[in-house]
Amino acid sequence: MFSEKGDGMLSVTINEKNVSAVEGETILVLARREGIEIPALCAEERLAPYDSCGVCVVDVEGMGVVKSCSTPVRDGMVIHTHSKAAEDIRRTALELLLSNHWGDCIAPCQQACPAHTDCQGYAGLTANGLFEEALHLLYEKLPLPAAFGRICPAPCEDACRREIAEEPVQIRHIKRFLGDKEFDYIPSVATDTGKRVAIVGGGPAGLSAAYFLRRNGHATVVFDAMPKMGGMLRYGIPDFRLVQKGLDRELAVLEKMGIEFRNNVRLGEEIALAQLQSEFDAVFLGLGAWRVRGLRIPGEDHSSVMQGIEFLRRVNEGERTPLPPRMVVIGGGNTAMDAARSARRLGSEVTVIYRRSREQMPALPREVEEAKEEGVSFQFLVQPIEFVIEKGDLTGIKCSRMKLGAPDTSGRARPIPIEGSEFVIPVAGVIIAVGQSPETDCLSGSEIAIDRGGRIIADEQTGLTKCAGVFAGGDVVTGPSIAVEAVGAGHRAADAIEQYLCGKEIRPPQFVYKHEKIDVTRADIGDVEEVPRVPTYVRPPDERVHDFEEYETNFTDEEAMKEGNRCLGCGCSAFNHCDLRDYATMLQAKQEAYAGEVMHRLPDERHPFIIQDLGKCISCGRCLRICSDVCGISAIDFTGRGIDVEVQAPFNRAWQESDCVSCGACVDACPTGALTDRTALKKQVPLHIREEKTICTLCGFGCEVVVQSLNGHYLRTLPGDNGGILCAKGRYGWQTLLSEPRLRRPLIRRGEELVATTWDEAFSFIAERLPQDKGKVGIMAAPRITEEEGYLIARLAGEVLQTDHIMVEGTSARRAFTVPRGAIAPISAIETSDLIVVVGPRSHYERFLIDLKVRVAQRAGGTIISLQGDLPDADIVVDDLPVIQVITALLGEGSGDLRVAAMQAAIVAATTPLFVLEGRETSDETVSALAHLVEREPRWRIAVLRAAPVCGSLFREGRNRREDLFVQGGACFSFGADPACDPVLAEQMRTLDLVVAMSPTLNKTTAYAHVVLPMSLPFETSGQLHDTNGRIRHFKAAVESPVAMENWRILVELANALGTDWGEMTLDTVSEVVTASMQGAPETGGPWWVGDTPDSLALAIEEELSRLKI
Amino acid sequence: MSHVSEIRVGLATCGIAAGAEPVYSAFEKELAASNASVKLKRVGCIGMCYNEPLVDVVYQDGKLSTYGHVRVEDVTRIVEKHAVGGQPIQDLLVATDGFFDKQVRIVLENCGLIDPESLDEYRAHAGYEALRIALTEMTPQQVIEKVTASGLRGRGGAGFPTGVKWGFAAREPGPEKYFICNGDEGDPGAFMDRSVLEGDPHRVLEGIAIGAYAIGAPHGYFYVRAEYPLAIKRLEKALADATTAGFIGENILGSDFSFEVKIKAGAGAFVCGEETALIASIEGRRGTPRRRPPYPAVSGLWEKPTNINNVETLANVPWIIRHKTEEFTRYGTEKSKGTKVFALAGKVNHSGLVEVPMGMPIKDIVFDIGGGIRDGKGFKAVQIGGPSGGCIPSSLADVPVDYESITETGAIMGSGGLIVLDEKTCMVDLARFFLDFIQKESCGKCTFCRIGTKRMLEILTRICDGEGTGDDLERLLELSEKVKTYSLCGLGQTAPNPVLTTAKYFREEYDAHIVDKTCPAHVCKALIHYEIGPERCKDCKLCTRDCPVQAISQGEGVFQVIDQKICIKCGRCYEVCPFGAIDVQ
Repeated sequence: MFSEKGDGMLSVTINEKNVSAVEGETILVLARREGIEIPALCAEERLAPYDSCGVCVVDVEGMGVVKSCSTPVRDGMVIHTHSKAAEDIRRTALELLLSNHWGDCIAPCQQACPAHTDCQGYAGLTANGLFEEALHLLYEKLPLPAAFGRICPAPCEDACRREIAEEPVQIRHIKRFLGDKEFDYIPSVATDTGKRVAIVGGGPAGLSAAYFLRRNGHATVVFDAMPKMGGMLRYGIPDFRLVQKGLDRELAVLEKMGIEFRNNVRLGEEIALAQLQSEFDAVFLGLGAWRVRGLRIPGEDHSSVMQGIEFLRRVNEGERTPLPPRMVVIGGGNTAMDAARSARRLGSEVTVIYRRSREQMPALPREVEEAKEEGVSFQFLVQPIEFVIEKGDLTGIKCSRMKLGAPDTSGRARPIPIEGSEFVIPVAGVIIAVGQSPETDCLSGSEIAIDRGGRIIADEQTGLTKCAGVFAGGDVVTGPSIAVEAVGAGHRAADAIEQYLCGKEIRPPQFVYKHEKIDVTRADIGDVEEVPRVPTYVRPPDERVHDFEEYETNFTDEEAMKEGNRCLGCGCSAFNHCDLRDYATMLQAKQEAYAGEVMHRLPDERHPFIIQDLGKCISCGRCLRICSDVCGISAIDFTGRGIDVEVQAPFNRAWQESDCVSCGACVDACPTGALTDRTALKKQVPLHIREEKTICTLCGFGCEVVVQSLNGHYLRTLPGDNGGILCAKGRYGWQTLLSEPRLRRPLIRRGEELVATTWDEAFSFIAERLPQDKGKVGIMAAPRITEEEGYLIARLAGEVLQTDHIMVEGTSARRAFTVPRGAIAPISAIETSDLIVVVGPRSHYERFLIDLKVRVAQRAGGTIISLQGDLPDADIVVDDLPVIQVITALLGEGSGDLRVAAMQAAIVAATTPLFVLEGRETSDETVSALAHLVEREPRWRIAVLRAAPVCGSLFREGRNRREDLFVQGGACFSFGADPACDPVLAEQMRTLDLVVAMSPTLNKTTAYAHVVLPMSLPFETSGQLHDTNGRIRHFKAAVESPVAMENWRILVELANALGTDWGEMTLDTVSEVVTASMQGAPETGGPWWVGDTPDSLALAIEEELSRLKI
Repeated sequence: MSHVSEIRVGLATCGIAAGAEPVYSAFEKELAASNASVKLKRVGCIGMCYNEPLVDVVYQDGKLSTYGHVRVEDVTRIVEKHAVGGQPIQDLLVATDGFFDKQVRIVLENCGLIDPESLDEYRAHAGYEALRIALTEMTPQQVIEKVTASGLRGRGGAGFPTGVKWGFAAREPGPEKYFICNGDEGDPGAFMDRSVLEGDPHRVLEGIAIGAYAIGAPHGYFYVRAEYPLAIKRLEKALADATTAGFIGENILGSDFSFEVKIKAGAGAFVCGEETALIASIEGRRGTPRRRPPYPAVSGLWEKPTNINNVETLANVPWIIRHKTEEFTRYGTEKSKGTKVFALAGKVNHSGLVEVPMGMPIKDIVFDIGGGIRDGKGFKAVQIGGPSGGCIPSSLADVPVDYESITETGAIMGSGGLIVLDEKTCMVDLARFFLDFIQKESCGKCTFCRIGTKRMLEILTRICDGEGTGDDLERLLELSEKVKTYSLCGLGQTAPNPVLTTAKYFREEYDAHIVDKTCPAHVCKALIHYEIGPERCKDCKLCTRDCPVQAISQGEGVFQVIDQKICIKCGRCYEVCPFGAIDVQ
C-alpha cells in the first residue's frame, strides 16, 4: 500500500542539500526526483514497495541504515544516500545476490579473447545467415578478420563450453569465413578530431591502434620499416597459412578508412622519435619482436645457418631458392614449424630438433601435427653444441642428448645434458628458430624505459610509457606472444590515447560474472543434442607439400550457419541492460565475496516468446508483481522456500499453460537476464541494437512502440506508452509473422514454382491475366496498412479494377458508426470514467489493454459492468441477456431484472459513464440503440475497440460478404492480407484465374498466387493512421525495408501498368489528400469493421502459442 | 480414604502417541464390566510427558494418584484393585518428584483436569464466566484497562503488552475489524499452544471473544497449523458447542456484541507465525511478511484493523478477567507479570509441559521441575525461544525467566520452547541444526534471509566438517550481524541468534573445530574417530557383529581393531560395547 499523501510539504536534507518533500512519499521516490541515483532492484515505479532486495539502503541520521524504497520521508530528516555504512550494506546485498546467480554476463569465448571479439555474437549472427552483420560485429573489435581467421590460435575455442557436449565451436573458422566474404564493408569513421597520431610498426599491434584511433576520427599514420604493412603477419607467416593477397585486401580496408601507410621508414634511421613527438599529438610504438635469439655456439655465423624469421621473410618475399636436400630446424615454437614446413615445400627433407620433449613444445599441437603429416621428422631431447664446419662447408651439427630435470622459471622441465651422449647429425643447412626479442636499440637515449630483455616498460592497461604522449603495446612490450594479444593491446592503447587526446574519462572496468569452465558440468548446459563439428576440408599433405597455396578451405554458407548454430549462447541477452551488473560495477561488488552453492536452473524455452533463465533470477518479484498488480493476470508466483525459492507458474506448469497472456510485461520488469524475450532471429544473439519509435498498426489504438532492429533486420517491439505494457499481438505479432523469410523481389508462377522476376514483368503479367469482366475482381487488404496505402488501394479498385468488392481482413462487413463524433471517447477516457460498461468477451488481444485501463478506473472507485463478457471482478455481470435488451432497459423501458435495476441506480450516480464496445462483435441494432442512448443521455460516451486502424479511405459500400468476395474465373488482389487463412475464401481462390498477393513473406495465400509482390511492413513505412481515438497519427519508418520499392509506389506502378496514369505522385502528395479527406469526414464516429474472417496475424500467434503447449 | 470418583486418561497428542487410546478403551471395557460407579474421562495434557500414557485416579475429595507408562495389560489391575478395591498399585504409580511443586497453573488451570470436549465441564470450572463479566459488567475500554493493568504481555515471543495492543486496534474507526488467534506454533520441540488447544479449547475461545469485544471486532479467526488435527478438531467442537450455547454468535449473552469465528488451518510454514505473513496466508496469498508499518492494528486482514494474539496470551485472559488484578500481578517480576508455559525438552529427566511464574531462575526449571540432567551428565546450556532463540550457558543458570533478562543474554523468550543441553551437545552443530531449519523455512523474500542464512549455514557446515578456515568465524559473525539487522521480518532478524549466542558463550568450541580440527563434544563426525582400548576389550566381538560396514576385525592379540578407512562413525560399536572399551577421540 502506498501511504496516503497529505498536502503537507516536508523539509528534508538529502546529501547536504535541503529539498522539500511530499508527505507520505518514500526516500527513494524523493531521491529519484532529485536526480540522485540509489541502486534498487526490487523497487519499480509502478509497484508498491516490496522491501526485499536490500540494495536501496540509505543512511538516515537517527535511524541508521534503512531501506529507501519503503521508508517514508519525515520532516527534518537528514539522509545520506551514499554513506560508507549504506554502501557496505548495499554491496553485501549485491554480493549475496551475485553468490546465487548463475549466468555469464559475457560468453566465456569473448572473455577469453585478448581482443574481446564478440564470438557468440558473430557466431550467432552467422547461424541466422546474417553474414554481413556478423562481419560488422567482428570489425568492432578486430581489424583484419580474414587474417586472424587463419592464424589465430583461438583461445576462444579453448574456453568454448560446447566442448562439454562434444567439441568446441570452430569460432576461428567462422571468423575466416566471414572475413573472406567480400562485402566491401568499410567501418565507419567519426568526424575528424583534428588530432594526429603516429603509429610505429605496421603489425597487429600498430594496425589495431591505428584502426581504433581512426574510428574515433583521429588522423593516423603508420610507419613501418618493411616494404609492406602487416609485420609478422606478412613476414613471419608463410603463404600457405596466410595468403598475402588476403592481407592486402584487408589492409586496403584500413587505407580506405583513411589510415595512412608509410613503408620503408625505420625508427631511428629515416625518422626519429623526437620528430614524431613534435609532429604528432601522440605516438604509439608497436615495434614487435624482430631480434633473433642465437644459440651462441660455434659455427652459428656460417652462411648455411639461417635464422628462422629471416628465412620466412625471404620466402614470403617470393624467394624460392632451393635448399640443401637435408635441413635441420632447431626450435619448438610456431616459427620453427612454419620454417620446417616452408623448407619442405622448397624440396628438402626436414628434421626438427628440440631440446625438451614434445609435451613442452610451445608450438600449437595442430601445427606440429600438420608438419608431421607433411613429412617433417622430429628429434626430441636433443641440444646442438656446435656446428661442424669442414673446409668451409657446414657438414653437420654436434648435439647432446638431454634429460628432463626440475621445472625452470618458465614452469617447464629444465633439460639437462646427458654426459657422453654427444653425436653428430650430418646436414648441410640449418634454420635456427629458438626465440625472438624486441629490437629497441633505436629508443636508446629517449625517455622510454627499456627492460633487460629489450622490452619497453609500459602500463599493462593503457600502454603508457615513461614518456608522456608515447604509448606502446604488443610484442615490443610483452615479448613474443600471439597476434591477437597485440590487437587487444593496440585497442587498449587506442582507448588510452583517446583519453589522453580528448580527456575522455576511462570508466572502471565493467563487472563480468564468470563461471570457470571447470565448474560447469554436462548437467549445467542442459539437454544439448550432440552435434559434431562441421568438417573442414584440408588439402592432403602429399599435395599441399609441393606449393605455397593455402591448404585449408572455407565453410560454405550452409556449413557456417550450421557451425554457428552449435554455439550454446552462454552470454547473457541482458548484458547491456542488467541492473545487477550495472550496480555490481558501480559498487565494485565481487562475485566471490560470499561464494557458496549456486541454485542453477536451466533456461526454460518452452514459452514461444519469453525465455526464462531462472538461474539469473534474484527473486525481486518484479515480474510476478507486474503480472498481478498491474496486468491483473497473476500467471506466476514464487514457489519453494529458503534458497530454493523460484518464480513459477502454478503447479510448476510451463508458463504458457498458465494464465499468461504473453504481454511480456514481466520481461520488461526483470532487472537481470532472468526473463528475456525472443527476437525475430531464429537463433537468439545478445546484441547492441538500434531503437526507433513508431506507432503500432496492429489494431486501432495506435500505441506508441519502440522497434529494435539490426542493419534493417527487425528484431523486436517494445512498449512505448501505456505505462510500459503492450498486448501480445503488438509485442510478438511481427516476429511471429517473420518466422518466414522476407520477400525482396517480385515472384511469378512458372508451373508449380514461384520464380523471381522483375517488377515490369510482374506488372505486365497481371495486366495480361486480368479478367475482362471487372465485376469479377475481389480485393482483400490487411487491417494494418497505412491510410495512404488504403487510399491508393481504394483508388486502384475504383478507377482501374472497377470493383467495389473490397474487404479488410478480420472483417466481413463495414458499417458506418452513426453516432455523433463528439460521443466517441478515446480509449484513454476509460481510466477516468466512473462507470464503465464493457461489452463482449475477451476474444481479442487488444482487449487486454482495455482491461488494464478498466482496472485503473476500478481502483479509482469506478463501477464496472460486464455485458455478455467475462471481465473478472466486474461489479455487475449480465451474461444471460442480449446487449440490446439491456440497453433498452437502461433507456428506461423497464426490466424485471434486478441487475438492470442495479445498473440503473449506478448510472444515475455516475457523471462520466462510458460504453466500451468491440466493433467487430457488435450488431447494427446495438449501435442504433447506443446512438439513441447517447442522444437521450449526453453524459454517455462510447469507446470503440476496432481491429483495424485503417478504415476511412477503404470505406465503401459493396459486396462485403466473404461468401461472395471471389467468383469463379475472376481475380483476387490481396494487399498484405492472407485471405487463404479463411477456409471459405481459400476454397474460392482455387477457382480464380489470377491471384495477386502483395505480402512481406510467403504465406497461405502466396501458395495460390500467380504473382507475388514483395511488401514493406508498417514499421518500415512512413504514413498515417486514423486511430480509435479519432486522432490522425503520423509515423516514420523505424527500420529500413529490404524491399527496394515502397508500398505506395508499388500500388501506383501497378495502377499505371494496368492502363491508367496517375501522373506525378509523391508520398507527400498522397498524404495531403488523405489528411484532407480524413478531416473532412462526416461528423459521425466513422466507419468500423465487424466480422468473422480470421485475422491472420492473431491466428499465427495462437498457433505459435498452441504449438508449444505440452 | 475416600472413594474413587473419576479416572482421567491423558489424551492429548502426546498421550495418544504413547498409546493412550487403547488404554482408554480398555478402561471403558473394564469399568463397564466392573459396574463401578467411576467416571471415565478424556483429558488434555497432564504435563508429565516423560511418563505418558498417564492415568489419574481421582478420589471424591479431589486428591489423586497418578499412574505412568500405563499399558493395556495394567488396566484390569488398576480397575479391580484401585478403582473398585480402593487400593493403589504401588509399583505402577509414578512419583511426581516435585514436578508440580514450583509450578503455578493459570493457563494450564484446566489442562489434564477437564474433558476438553465438554462445554459443561468447562462451565463447571468457571468457564465463560469471564465473558459474562466482560459483556455485562464492563465496557470494552474497561476490559482493555484491566488487561493492561494485569501487565500481560504477548506470549508469542515479542512480549508486547497485550492491553496496549488491544488499545491500538480499538482506537481505529470503522465497524469491520478482525481478531486473530495465532496458533501457528512452529518451533521444533514446542507444544504449548497445541496442548492448550487440545486440553482446554473453550478457554482460548473465551479469550478471543473477550478480546474481540474489547477492540470491537465482529470477526475472528483461529489460525492453527494443519499438523495439529486434534487441536483443530477439539476447537471445532468447542466452537460449535459455544455457538449453540450462545457464547459465540449474534448478541452474545443478550448483549449488543456479536462475534463470529472461523478456523483456518495453516499449511505449516514456519514464517506464517509472523503476523503479516499469517494475514497474507488467510487472505489466500503466499505467506510472506511485509514491512510494518502499517501495523495490522491499522491495516491488517483485508486491509482492516486487526489484532493478533497467540494462544497462550488469550488463554490468560479469562483468568485475568475473573480475578482481581493483584492476583495476577503477584506472580512474576516488575516488567513480566504472570506465568509462562514452557515445553521442557532435551536432555532433562522430566520433559513435559510446565507453567512457572515469571522470574523463576532457569536452574529451578531445569533441576527442580525438570529433575536435572538425564544420565547424570553435566548441564551445559539451555536453548530458549525456538530455532531463532539462543543459548544460555549453565554459567548463567541463575538468570530469571522474564523478557528483559532473557533478552539481555542474547537469546529471546520466544514462544516457550526450552531445550536442555548436556555436555555431550556440540554447540557448533547445534547452531548448524537450527540454521538449517531457518534456511528451509525462510520465505525467501529478502536477500539477507534467503541467501545470507544459506551462506551462514554453509560456513557452519564447513566448520562441522572440519573444513573451517581462519576467517570463517569472522565472516560468519559479520554475516550474522547483517542478517540480523537487515532482514525484513522477525524470522530473519532472529535467525542468527543461535550462532551469535553460541559464539559468545562457547567460542572455544568454534576455535577447536576450526583450528584444532576437533569436536570437543565428540559429535561432528568428520572430527572424531572411534578406537578400541585393547586393555579394556574382552574380545566379545559384539562390536564386530554389529558394525554395519565390517570395519572391525581381530587385532594383534586378543582384542578388536577398527579400520578407520572403512568406519563410517555411526557410533554403533560405542553403544553396544558392554565394557566401555570404545573411545571417541
